[in-house]
Amino acid sequence: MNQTRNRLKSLFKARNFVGLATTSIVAASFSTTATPKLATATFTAMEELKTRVCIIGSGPAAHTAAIYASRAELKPILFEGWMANDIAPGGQLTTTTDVENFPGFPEGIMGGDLTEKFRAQSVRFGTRVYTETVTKVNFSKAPFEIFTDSKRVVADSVIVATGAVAKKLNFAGSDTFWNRGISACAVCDGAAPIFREKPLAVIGGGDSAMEEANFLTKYGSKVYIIHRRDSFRASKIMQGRALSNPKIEVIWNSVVEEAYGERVVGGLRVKNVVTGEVSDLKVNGLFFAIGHEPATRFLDGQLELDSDGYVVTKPGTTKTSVRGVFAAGDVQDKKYRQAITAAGTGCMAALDAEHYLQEIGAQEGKSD
Amino acid sequence: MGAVLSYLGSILSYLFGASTAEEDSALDGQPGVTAFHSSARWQLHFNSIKNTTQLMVIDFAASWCGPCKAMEPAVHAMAAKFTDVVFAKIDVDELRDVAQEFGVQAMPTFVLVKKGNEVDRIVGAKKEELQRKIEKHRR
Repeated sequence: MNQTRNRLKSLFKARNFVGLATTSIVAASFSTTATPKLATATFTAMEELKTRVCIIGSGPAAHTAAIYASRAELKPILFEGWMANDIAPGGQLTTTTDVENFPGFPEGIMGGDLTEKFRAQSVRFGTRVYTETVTKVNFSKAPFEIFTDSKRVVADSVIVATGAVAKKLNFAGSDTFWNRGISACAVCDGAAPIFREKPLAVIGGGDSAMEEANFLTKYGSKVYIIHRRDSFRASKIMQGRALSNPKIEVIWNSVVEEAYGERVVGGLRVKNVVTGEVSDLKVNGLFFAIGHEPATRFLDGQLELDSDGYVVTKPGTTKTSVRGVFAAGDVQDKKYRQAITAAGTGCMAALDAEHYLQEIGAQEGKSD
Repeated sequence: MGAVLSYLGSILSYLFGASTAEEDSALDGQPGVTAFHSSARWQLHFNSIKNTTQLMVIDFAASWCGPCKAMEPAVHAMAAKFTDVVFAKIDVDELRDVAQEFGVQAMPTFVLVKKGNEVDRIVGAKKEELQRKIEKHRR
Protein backbone atom coordinates (compact mmCIF):
# COMPACT_ATOMS: atom_id res chain seq x y z
CA MET A 1 0.00 0.00 0.00
CA ASN A 2 2.82 2.39 0.91
CA GLN A 3 4.61 1.55 -2.30
CA THR A 4 1.60 2.36 -4.44
CA ARG A 5 0.96 5.52 -2.50
CA ASN A 6 4.51 6.68 -3.14
CA ARG A 7 4.22 5.76 -6.79
CA LEU A 8 1.03 7.79 -6.96
CA LYS A 9 2.70 10.75 -5.28
CA SER A 10 5.53 10.89 -7.77
CA LEU A 11 3.13 10.32 -10.65
CA PHE A 12 1.03 13.20 -9.47
CA LYS A 13 4.01 15.56 -9.27
CA ALA A 14 5.95 14.80 -12.43
CA ARG A 15 4.67 12.66 -15.22
CA ASN A 16 7.94 11.13 -16.26
CA PHE A 17 9.99 8.32 -14.93
CA VAL A 18 13.45 9.79 -15.50
CA GLY A 19 14.70 11.41 -12.34
CA LEU A 20 15.07 15.14 -12.04
CA ALA A 21 18.67 16.14 -12.74
CA THR A 22 19.28 19.13 -10.53
CA THR A 23 16.64 20.39 -8.19
CA SER A 24 16.69 22.47 -5.11
CA ILE A 25 13.77 23.61 -3.07
CA VAL A 26 14.02 27.32 -2.46
CA ALA A 27 11.61 29.21 -0.25
CA ALA A 28 11.02 32.63 -1.72
CA SER A 29 8.69 35.45 -0.87
CA PHE A 30 6.45 36.50 -3.74
CA SER A 31 6.71 40.25 -3.21
CA THR A 32 9.56 42.13 -4.80
CA THR A 33 10.19 44.25 -1.73
CA ALA A 34 12.03 41.73 0.35
CA THR A 35 11.36 43.27 3.74
CA PRO A 36 11.35 40.38 6.17
CA LYS A 37 8.06 40.17 8.00
CA LEU A 38 7.45 38.41 11.25
CA ALA A 39 5.48 35.28 12.02
CA THR A 40 2.66 36.15 9.61
CA ALA A 41 4.84 35.98 6.48
CA THR A 42 3.77 33.32 3.97
CA PHE A 43 6.48 31.64 1.95
CA THR A 44 5.78 30.19 -1.45
CA ALA A 45 8.10 27.29 -2.00
CA MET A 46 9.11 27.28 -5.66
CA GLU A 47 11.00 24.35 -7.05
CA GLU A 48 14.03 25.57 -8.97
CA LEU A 49 15.16 23.73 -12.07
CA LYS A 50 17.86 24.36 -14.61
CA THR A 51 18.03 23.26 -18.21
CA ARG A 52 19.79 24.00 -21.48
CA VAL A 53 16.46 24.18 -23.28
CA CYS A 54 12.96 24.73 -21.95
CA ILE A 55 10.06 23.88 -24.26
CA ILE A 56 6.63 25.39 -23.68
CA GLY A 57 3.86 23.46 -25.41
CA SER A 58 2.42 19.97 -25.86
CA GLY A 59 1.60 19.46 -29.53
CA PRO A 60 3.56 18.13 -32.50
CA ALA A 61 5.91 21.14 -32.56
CA ALA A 62 6.80 20.94 -28.87
CA HIS A 63 7.31 17.19 -28.83
CA THR A 64 9.31 17.03 -32.05
CA ALA A 65 11.57 19.73 -30.57
CA ALA A 66 11.79 17.66 -27.38
CA ILE A 67 12.71 14.50 -29.26
CA TYR A 68 15.53 16.21 -31.11
CA ALA A 69 16.75 18.16 -28.08
CA SER A 70 16.76 15.14 -25.81
CA ARG A 71 18.55 13.04 -28.38
CA ALA A 72 21.14 15.83 -28.57
CA GLU A 73 21.56 15.27 -24.82
CA LEU A 74 20.35 18.76 -23.97
CA LYS A 75 18.13 17.32 -21.19
CA PRO A 76 15.12 19.47 -22.10
CA ILE A 77 12.26 20.39 -19.80
CA LEU A 78 8.82 20.51 -21.40
CA PHE A 79 5.74 22.13 -19.87
CA GLU A 80 2.65 20.55 -21.41
CA GLY A 81 0.21 22.74 -19.49
CA TRP A 82 -2.72 21.78 -17.30
CA MET A 83 -5.77 22.58 -19.46
CA ALA A 84 -3.93 25.66 -20.73
CA ASN A 85 -6.36 27.74 -22.78
CA ASP A 86 -8.99 25.10 -22.00
CA ILE A 87 -7.24 22.54 -24.18
CA ALA A 88 -5.93 19.24 -22.84
CA PRO A 89 -2.21 18.43 -23.01
CA GLY A 90 -1.54 17.35 -26.56
CA GLY A 91 -3.01 20.49 -27.98
CA GLN A 92 -5.46 20.96 -30.82
CA LEU A 93 -5.09 17.36 -31.97
CA THR A 94 -6.92 16.27 -28.82
CA THR A 95 -9.99 18.08 -30.10
CA THR A 96 -10.25 16.07 -33.30
CA THR A 97 -10.97 12.43 -34.05
CA ASP A 98 -9.55 10.85 -37.22
CA VAL A 99 -6.29 12.27 -38.46
CA GLU A 100 -5.74 10.93 -41.96
CA ASN A 101 -3.20 13.33 -43.40
CA PHE A 102 -0.31 12.92 -40.95
CA PRO A 103 2.24 10.83 -42.83
CA GLY A 104 3.08 7.44 -41.42
CA PHE A 105 -0.50 6.37 -40.66
CA PRO A 106 -2.08 4.89 -43.79
CA GLU A 107 -5.11 3.73 -41.77
CA GLY A 108 -5.44 7.09 -40.06
CA ILE A 109 -5.07 7.64 -36.32
CA MET A 110 -7.18 9.29 -33.62
CA GLY A 111 -5.89 12.73 -32.59
CA GLY A 112 -5.61 11.76 -28.94
CA ASP A 113 -3.69 8.61 -29.78
CA LEU A 114 -1.27 10.53 -31.96
CA THR A 115 -0.48 13.03 -29.21
CA GLU A 116 0.07 10.19 -26.76
CA LYS A 117 2.64 8.74 -29.12
CA PHE A 118 4.41 12.10 -29.42
CA ARG A 119 4.63 12.32 -25.66
CA ALA A 120 5.85 8.77 -25.20
CA GLN A 121 8.60 9.40 -27.73
CA SER A 122 9.77 12.57 -25.97
CA VAL A 123 9.81 10.81 -22.63
CA ARG A 124 11.67 7.85 -24.06
CA PHE A 125 14.69 9.97 -24.83
CA GLY A 126 14.74 11.68 -21.46
CA THR A 127 12.56 14.77 -21.77
CA ARG A 128 11.33 15.93 -18.37
CA VAL A 129 7.62 16.58 -18.94
CA TYR A 130 5.60 18.59 -16.39
CA THR A 131 1.81 18.85 -16.56
CA GLU A 132 1.86 22.50 -15.53
CA THR A 133 0.88 25.73 -17.24
CA VAL A 134 3.51 28.41 -17.71
CA THR A 135 2.17 31.58 -16.12
CA LYS A 136 4.95 33.98 -16.99
CA VAL A 137 8.35 34.24 -18.57
CA ASN A 138 11.32 36.57 -18.36
CA PHE A 139 13.29 36.92 -21.58
CA SER A 140 14.90 40.24 -20.67
CA LYS A 141 18.27 38.62 -20.07
CA ALA A 142 20.00 35.26 -20.42
CA PRO A 143 19.62 32.79 -18.89
CA PHE A 144 15.87 33.03 -19.28
CA GLU A 145 13.27 32.37 -16.60
CA ILE A 146 10.07 30.39 -17.00
CA PHE A 147 7.49 30.25 -14.19
CA THR A 148 4.58 27.97 -13.34
CA ASP A 149 2.62 28.00 -10.08
CA SER A 150 5.17 25.73 -8.44
CA LYS A 151 8.36 25.97 -10.48
CA ARG A 152 10.95 28.43 -11.63
CA VAL A 153 13.03 27.16 -14.54
CA VAL A 154 16.30 28.82 -15.53
CA ALA A 155 17.02 27.98 -19.16
CA ASP A 156 19.83 28.79 -21.55
CA SER A 157 17.40 28.65 -24.48
CA VAL A 158 13.62 28.49 -24.87
CA ILE A 159 11.33 27.05 -27.51
CA VAL A 160 7.84 28.53 -27.55
CA ALA A 161 5.41 26.07 -29.11
CA THR A 162 2.17 26.97 -27.39
CA GLY A 163 0.00 26.64 -30.46
CA ALA A 164 -3.34 28.32 -30.73
CA VAL A 165 -6.59 28.81 -28.83
CA ALA A 166 -9.96 27.89 -30.29
CA LYS A 167 -11.87 30.94 -31.44
CA LYS A 168 -15.34 31.55 -30.14
CA LEU A 169 -17.93 33.95 -31.44
CA ASN A 170 -19.77 36.49 -29.39
CA PHE A 171 -23.47 37.04 -29.86
CA ALA A 172 -26.53 37.26 -27.66
CA GLY A 173 -26.72 34.08 -25.62
CA SER A 174 -23.22 32.80 -26.44
CA ASP A 175 -22.12 33.21 -22.82
CA THR A 176 -25.37 32.11 -21.22
CA PHE A 177 -25.42 28.84 -23.06
CA TRP A 178 -21.69 28.11 -22.95
CA ASN A 179 -21.37 24.42 -21.99
CA ARG A 180 -25.16 24.28 -22.03
CA GLY A 181 -25.44 23.48 -25.67
CA ILE A 182 -22.67 25.71 -27.02
CA SER A 183 -19.17 24.29 -27.20
CA ALA A 184 -15.92 24.75 -29.09
CA CYS A 185 -15.10 21.06 -29.16
CA ALA A 186 -17.56 18.75 -30.89
CA VAL A 187 -15.39 15.74 -30.24
CA CYS A 188 -15.25 16.42 -26.50
CA ASP A 189 -18.93 17.19 -26.00
CA GLY A 190 -20.79 15.62 -28.91
CA ALA A 191 -21.61 12.46 -26.97
CA ALA A 192 -23.56 14.35 -24.28
CA PRO A 193 -27.15 13.17 -23.87
CA ILE A 194 -28.60 16.62 -24.59
CA PHE A 195 -27.47 16.27 -28.21
CA ARG A 196 -28.64 12.73 -28.84
CA GLU A 197 -31.08 12.54 -31.77
CA LYS A 198 -31.37 16.32 -31.79
CA PRO A 199 -30.65 18.86 -34.52
CA LEU A 200 -27.20 20.40 -34.10
CA ALA A 201 -25.20 23.14 -35.80
CA VAL A 202 -21.54 23.71 -36.57
CA ILE A 203 -20.12 27.10 -37.50
CA GLY A 204 -17.11 26.95 -39.81
CA GLY A 205 -15.79 26.20 -43.25
CA GLY A 206 -12.45 24.47 -42.88
CA ASP A 207 -11.40 20.84 -42.54
CA SER A 208 -12.11 20.84 -38.80
CA ALA A 209 -15.64 22.04 -39.36
CA MET A 210 -16.22 19.26 -41.92
CA GLU A 211 -14.71 16.64 -39.60
CA GLU A 212 -16.73 17.79 -36.64
CA ALA A 213 -19.97 17.96 -38.59
CA ASN A 214 -19.45 14.41 -39.80
CA PHE A 215 -18.61 13.28 -36.28
CA LEU A 216 -21.76 14.85 -34.90
CA THR A 217 -24.02 13.02 -37.34
CA LYS A 218 -23.32 9.92 -35.23
CA TYR A 219 -25.19 11.53 -32.37
CA GLY A 220 -27.54 14.20 -33.69
CA SER A 221 -30.60 13.77 -35.86
CA LYS A 222 -29.39 16.46 -38.25
CA VAL A 223 -26.33 18.69 -38.50
CA TYR A 224 -26.38 22.15 -40.02
CA ILE A 225 -23.13 23.75 -41.13
CA ILE A 226 -23.51 27.50 -40.89
CA HIS A 227 -20.90 29.31 -42.96
CA ARG A 228 -20.56 33.03 -43.57
CA ARG A 229 -19.40 32.67 -47.20
CA ASP A 230 -20.62 30.74 -50.21
CA SER A 231 -17.80 28.23 -50.39
CA PHE A 232 -15.72 26.22 -47.97
CA ARG A 233 -11.96 26.46 -47.66
CA ALA A 234 -11.81 22.83 -46.56
CA SER A 235 -9.96 20.26 -48.68
CA LYS A 236 -11.96 18.79 -51.54
CA ILE A 237 -12.16 15.39 -49.97
CA MET A 238 -13.49 16.69 -46.65
CA GLN A 239 -16.00 18.92 -48.40
CA GLY A 240 -17.17 15.95 -50.42
CA ARG A 241 -17.67 13.84 -47.32
CA ALA A 242 -19.67 16.51 -45.57
CA LEU A 243 -21.80 17.46 -48.55
CA SER A 244 -22.64 13.87 -49.39
CA ASN A 245 -23.68 13.06 -45.83
CA PRO A 246 -27.51 12.90 -45.87
CA LYS A 247 -27.72 14.22 -42.32
CA ILE A 248 -25.76 17.37 -43.12
CA GLU A 249 -27.33 20.51 -44.52
CA VAL A 250 -25.30 23.63 -45.28
CA ILE A 251 -26.59 27.12 -44.60
CA TRP A 252 -24.45 29.39 -46.78
CA ASN A 253 -23.70 33.10 -46.40
CA SER A 254 -24.99 33.10 -42.87
CA VAL A 255 -24.00 34.05 -39.35
CA VAL A 256 -25.57 33.39 -35.98
CA GLU A 257 -27.07 36.45 -34.32
CA GLU A 258 -28.56 34.91 -31.20
CA ALA A 259 -28.84 31.68 -29.28
CA TYR A 260 -31.93 31.21 -27.15
CA GLY A 261 -33.51 28.49 -25.06
CA GLU A 262 -34.31 27.52 -21.52
CA ARG A 263 -31.99 25.17 -19.67
CA VAL A 264 -30.08 24.34 -22.83
CA VAL A 265 -29.94 25.90 -26.28
CA GLY A 266 -33.30 25.61 -28.02
CA GLY A 267 -32.68 27.55 -31.19
CA LEU A 268 -30.71 30.14 -33.12
CA ARG A 269 -31.49 33.28 -35.02
CA VAL A 270 -29.50 33.07 -38.22
CA LYS A 271 -28.90 36.01 -40.52
CA ASN A 272 -28.14 35.71 -44.19
CA VAL A 273 -25.40 38.28 -44.80
CA VAL A 274 -26.25 38.61 -48.48
CA THR A 275 -30.02 39.09 -48.27
CA GLY A 276 -30.18 40.43 -44.72
CA GLU A 277 -32.97 37.98 -43.94
CA VAL A 278 -33.09 36.64 -40.37
CA SER A 279 -34.52 33.19 -39.85
CA ASP A 280 -35.09 30.81 -36.99
CA LEU A 281 -33.21 27.52 -36.69
CA LYS A 282 -34.22 24.99 -34.09
CA VAL A 283 -31.13 23.27 -32.77
CA ASN A 284 -30.07 21.95 -29.36
CA GLY A 285 -26.35 22.26 -29.88
CA LEU A 286 -23.95 24.70 -31.49
CA PHE A 287 -20.27 24.02 -32.05
CA PHE A 288 -17.65 26.57 -33.07
CA ALA A 289 -15.16 25.23 -35.61
CA ILE A 290 -13.87 28.56 -36.87
CA GLY A 291 -10.18 28.19 -36.27
CA HIS A 292 -7.75 29.34 -33.64
CA GLU A 293 -5.69 32.31 -32.59
CA PRO A 294 -2.09 32.10 -31.35
CA ALA A 295 -1.55 31.56 -27.62
CA THR A 296 0.83 34.40 -26.93
CA ARG A 297 -0.77 36.27 -24.07
CA PHE A 298 1.51 34.78 -21.42
CA LEU A 299 4.54 36.25 -23.22
CA ASP A 300 3.39 39.68 -22.10
CA GLY A 301 4.92 41.40 -25.11
CA GLN A 302 8.43 40.04 -24.64
CA LEU A 303 8.59 38.64 -28.16
CA GLU A 304 7.77 40.54 -31.31
CA LEU A 305 4.30 39.62 -32.56
CA ASP A 306 2.65 40.43 -35.87
CA SER A 307 -0.68 42.24 -36.15
CA ASP A 308 -2.60 39.00 -35.69
CA GLY A 309 -0.73 37.98 -32.57
CA TYR A 310 1.59 35.42 -34.16
CA VAL A 311 5.21 35.30 -33.01
CA VAL A 312 7.44 36.79 -35.68
CA THR A 313 10.23 34.48 -36.77
CA LYS A 314 13.09 35.21 -39.13
CA PRO A 315 12.14 33.61 -42.47
CA GLY A 316 13.64 30.18 -42.95
CA THR A 317 14.37 29.82 -39.21
CA THR A 318 12.57 29.66 -35.89
CA LYS A 319 14.50 32.61 -34.45
CA THR A 320 12.42 35.20 -32.65
CA SER A 321 13.19 38.79 -31.70
CA VAL A 322 15.09 37.54 -28.67
CA ARG A 323 18.36 35.73 -29.26
CA GLY A 324 18.12 32.28 -27.71
CA VAL A 325 14.32 32.09 -27.87
CA PHE A 326 12.77 30.12 -30.73
CA ALA A 327 9.19 29.60 -31.84
CA ALA A 328 7.64 26.61 -33.58
CA GLY A 329 4.24 25.38 -34.65
CA ASP A 330 0.95 27.27 -34.94
CA VAL A 331 2.07 30.02 -32.55
CA GLN A 332 4.26 31.37 -35.34
CA ASP A 333 2.54 29.94 -38.43
CA LYS A 334 -0.35 31.85 -39.90
CA LYS A 335 -0.24 30.18 -43.25
CA TYR A 336 -0.02 26.40 -43.01
CA ARG A 337 -1.14 25.39 -39.50
CA GLN A 338 -0.91 21.66 -39.98
CA ALA A 339 0.27 19.03 -37.51
CA ILE A 340 3.02 17.96 -39.86
CA THR A 341 4.28 21.50 -40.57
CA ALA A 342 4.28 22.11 -36.82
CA ALA A 343 6.36 18.98 -36.31
CA GLY A 344 8.75 20.22 -38.98
CA THR A 345 9.26 23.60 -37.34
CA GLY A 346 9.65 21.86 -33.97
CA CYS A 347 12.63 20.00 -35.34
CA MET A 348 14.03 23.23 -36.79
CA ALA A 349 13.67 24.93 -33.41
CA ALA A 350 15.61 22.18 -31.65
CA LEU A 351 18.38 22.39 -34.22
CA ASP A 352 18.41 26.20 -34.03
CA ALA A 353 18.60 25.98 -30.24
CA GLU A 354 21.39 23.44 -30.35
CA HIS A 355 23.37 25.64 -32.72
CA TYR A 356 22.79 28.67 -30.48
CA LEU A 357 23.95 26.78 -27.40
CA GLN A 358 27.13 25.80 -29.16
CA GLU A 359 27.69 29.47 -30.09
CA ILE A 360 27.30 30.76 -26.55
CA GLY A 361 29.22 27.84 -25.16
CA ALA A 362 32.12 28.71 -27.45
CA GLN A 363 31.90 32.43 -26.56
CA GLU A 364 31.93 31.92 -22.85
CA GLY A 365 34.44 29.10 -22.95
CA LYS A 366 32.03 26.95 -21.00
CA SER A 367 32.00 23.23 -21.11
CA ASP A 368 28.94 21.31 -20.00
CA MET B 1 -18.70 -1.04 5.99
CA GLY B 2 -16.13 -1.47 3.27
CA ALA B 3 -15.99 -5.18 3.93
CA VAL B 4 -19.76 -5.53 3.59
CA LEU B 5 -19.82 -3.58 0.34
CA SER B 6 -16.97 -5.50 -1.19
CA TYR B 7 -18.68 -8.74 -0.20
CA LEU B 8 -21.85 -7.48 -1.90
CA GLY B 9 -19.71 -6.48 -4.85
CA SER B 10 -18.18 -9.89 -5.21
CA ILE B 11 -21.60 -11.54 -5.11
CA LEU B 12 -22.80 -9.17 -7.79
CA SER B 13 -19.71 -9.81 -9.90
CA TYR B 14 -20.44 -13.51 -9.68
CA LEU B 15 -24.06 -12.94 -10.66
CA PHE B 16 -23.38 -10.58 -13.51
CA GLY B 17 -20.42 -12.33 -14.98
CA ALA B 18 -17.01 -10.94 -15.86
CA SER B 19 -15.94 -8.14 -13.57
CA THR B 20 -14.87 -4.86 -15.11
CA ALA B 21 -14.17 -3.21 -11.81
CA GLU B 22 -10.69 -1.96 -12.65
CA GLU B 23 -10.19 1.33 -14.46
CA ASP B 24 -7.87 1.11 -17.46
CA SER B 25 -4.91 3.24 -16.52
CA ALA B 26 -1.28 3.23 -15.62
CA LEU B 27 -2.43 2.42 -12.11
CA ASP B 28 -3.59 -1.10 -12.84
CA GLY B 29 -4.45 -3.07 -9.79
CA GLN B 30 -5.05 0.08 -7.78
CA PRO B 31 -8.67 0.07 -6.62
CA GLY B 32 -10.16 3.54 -6.46
CA VAL B 33 -12.31 4.42 -9.43
CA THR B 34 -14.84 1.83 -10.51
CA ALA B 35 -15.94 1.96 -14.13
CA PHE B 36 -19.48 0.87 -14.94
CA HIS B 37 -20.46 -0.67 -18.24
CA SER B 38 -24.02 -1.76 -17.62
CA SER B 39 -27.02 0.11 -16.30
CA ALA B 40 -28.05 -2.81 -14.10
CA ARG B 41 -24.73 -2.98 -12.26
CA TRP B 42 -24.70 0.79 -11.92
CA GLN B 43 -28.19 0.81 -10.43
CA LEU B 44 -27.28 -1.83 -7.89
CA HIS B 45 -24.12 0.02 -6.90
CA PHE B 46 -25.96 3.33 -6.66
CA ASN B 47 -28.67 1.84 -4.49
CA SER B 48 -26.18 0.21 -2.16
CA ILE B 49 -24.45 3.54 -1.52
CA LYS B 50 -27.77 5.38 -1.09
CA ASN B 51 -28.32 3.97 2.36
CA THR B 52 -24.94 5.00 3.65
CA THR B 53 -23.56 8.43 4.47
CA GLN B 54 -20.74 7.98 2.02
CA LEU B 55 -20.04 10.62 -0.58
CA MET B 56 -19.99 9.33 -4.14
CA VAL B 57 -18.24 11.10 -7.00
CA ILE B 58 -19.49 10.15 -10.47
CA ASP B 59 -17.14 10.99 -13.33
CA PHE B 60 -19.07 11.32 -16.61
CA ALA B 61 -16.64 11.11 -19.52
CA ALA B 62 -16.49 10.32 -23.23
CA SER B 63 -13.90 8.23 -25.04
CA TRP B 64 -12.42 10.96 -27.22
CA CYS B 65 -12.65 13.76 -24.77
CA GLY B 66 -9.16 15.23 -24.24
CA PRO B 67 -10.01 17.07 -21.02
CA CYS B 68 -11.46 13.82 -19.60
CA LYS B 69 -8.18 12.01 -20.21
CA ALA B 70 -6.27 14.93 -18.70
CA MET B 71 -8.31 14.59 -15.50
CA GLU B 72 -7.78 10.84 -15.12
CA PRO B 73 -4.55 10.90 -13.08
CA ALA B 74 -5.95 13.62 -10.82
CA VAL B 75 -9.15 11.66 -10.21
CA HIS B 76 -7.20 8.50 -9.43
CA ALA B 77 -5.00 10.40 -7.03
CA MET B 78 -8.06 11.80 -5.25
CA ALA B 79 -9.60 8.32 -5.08
CA ALA B 80 -6.45 7.01 -3.45
CA LYS B 81 -6.30 9.94 -1.06
CA PHE B 82 -9.97 10.11 -0.05
CA THR B 83 -10.56 6.48 0.81
CA ASP B 84 -13.88 7.25 2.50
CA VAL B 85 -15.30 8.52 -0.79
CA VAL B 86 -16.67 6.24 -3.52
CA PHE B 87 -15.54 7.04 -7.06
CA ALA B 88 -17.40 5.83 -10.13
CA LYS B 89 -16.76 6.41 -13.81
CA ILE B 90 -19.42 6.38 -16.50
CA ASP B 91 -18.88 6.60 -20.25
CA VAL B 92 -21.77 8.69 -21.58
CA ASP B 93 -21.82 6.68 -24.79
CA GLU B 94 -22.15 3.36 -22.98
CA LEU B 95 -24.60 4.43 -20.30
CA ARG B 96 -26.63 7.03 -22.14
CA ASP B 97 -29.65 6.68 -19.87
CA VAL B 98 -27.62 7.34 -16.73
CA ALA B 99 -25.97 10.39 -18.33
CA GLN B 100 -29.41 11.59 -19.37
CA GLU B 101 -30.79 11.05 -15.87
CA PHE B 102 -28.07 13.24 -14.43
CA GLY B 103 -28.49 15.90 -17.12
CA VAL B 104 -24.89 15.78 -18.34
CA GLN B 105 -24.29 18.58 -20.84
CA ALA B 106 -20.52 18.76 -21.29
CA MET B 107 -17.65 16.41 -20.53
CA PRO B 108 -16.20 15.82 -18.09
CA THR B 109 -18.92 16.42 -15.53
CA PHE B 110 -18.42 15.31 -11.93
CA VAL B 111 -21.57 14.80 -9.89
CA LEU B 112 -21.29 14.53 -6.11
CA VAL B 113 -24.03 12.42 -4.56
CA LYS B 114 -24.94 11.73 -0.96
CA LYS B 115 -27.80 9.47 0.16
CA GLY B 116 -29.00 9.28 -3.41
CA ASN B 117 -29.22 13.06 -3.85
CA GLU B 118 -26.95 15.37 -5.80
CA VAL B 119 -25.10 17.74 -3.48
CA ASP B 120 -22.77 19.37 -5.97
CA ARG B 121 -21.48 19.29 -9.51
CA ILE B 122 -18.37 20.33 -11.43
CA VAL B 123 -18.52 20.87 -15.18
CA GLY B 124 -15.19 20.76 -16.97
CA ALA B 125 -11.67 19.62 -16.13
CA LYS B 126 -11.37 21.68 -12.98
CA LYS B 127 -8.99 19.88 -10.65
CA GLU B 128 -8.92 22.37 -7.77
CA GLU B 129 -12.68 22.87 -7.72
CA LEU B 130 -13.28 19.10 -7.68
CA GLN B 131 -10.87 18.58 -4.81
CA ARG B 132 -12.33 21.49 -2.85
CA LYS B 133 -15.90 20.25 -3.24
CA ILE B 134 -14.98 16.68 -2.34
CA GLU B 135 -13.31 17.92 0.84
CA LYS B 136 -16.35 20.01 1.59
CA HIS B 137 -18.90 17.23 1.22
CA ARG B 138 -17.08 14.13 2.40
CA ARG B 139 -17.87 14.48 6.07
